[in-house]
Amino acid sequence: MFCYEKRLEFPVKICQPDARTAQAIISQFGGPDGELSASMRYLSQRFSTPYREVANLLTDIGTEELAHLEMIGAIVYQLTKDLSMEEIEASGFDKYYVDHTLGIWPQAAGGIPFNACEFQCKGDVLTDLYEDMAADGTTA
Amino acid sequence: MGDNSKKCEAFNTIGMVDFLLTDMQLYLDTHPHDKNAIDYYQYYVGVKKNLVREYEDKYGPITAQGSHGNTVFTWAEEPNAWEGVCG
Repeated sequence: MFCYEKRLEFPVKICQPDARTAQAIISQFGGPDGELSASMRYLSQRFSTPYREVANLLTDIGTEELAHLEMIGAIVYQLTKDLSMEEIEASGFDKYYVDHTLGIWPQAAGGIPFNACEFQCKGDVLTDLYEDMAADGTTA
Repeated sequence: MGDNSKKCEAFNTIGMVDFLLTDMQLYLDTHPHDKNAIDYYQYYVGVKKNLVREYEDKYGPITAQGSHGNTVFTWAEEPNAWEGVCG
């Protein structure tokens, strides 16, 4: 099970909304190398990992990735809070807004929805760990 | 800020100590017999426990079970983590 602490892993406080930046950052939420992909990758792969300490490490990394997901969500939330319709249209955020308004939906910057095909889980520890290195070597 | 600055300082100190604990935990997962690392980890587990207890007594819950009120479930009324109150 998971226990929740009501705080971010690192504080996020954005004073100036910026919908254009939000549209790029959202890829780190639900894009191919984003935090949702990272957390689901580790938390799925761990079950079939034959070495207990490795499975344990995957659990703990996957858990921390959930904290990263929450920080990125907070960034997008704060970047898009209190936007006027003029700002939404001028920044190009209208294409997102029409489907989600200011909801935080896991998608890539290009609008592609989050998809489990963005990570792998093959039940072979070396294959899975190589996949982790390839994915996590590009982002955090 | 005013009243909030002391609260936020305490809140962010918990975050700093926990960040250390998170990294130590990952290290210990693959080095479970490193005595120095275990001692270091345990010391800061104690530090965090005390900081959280002090914070929850004074300001409000970090976890649901740290909700001390007996007339109101304060957990439900605390700001959410993404609101940027103590950013």
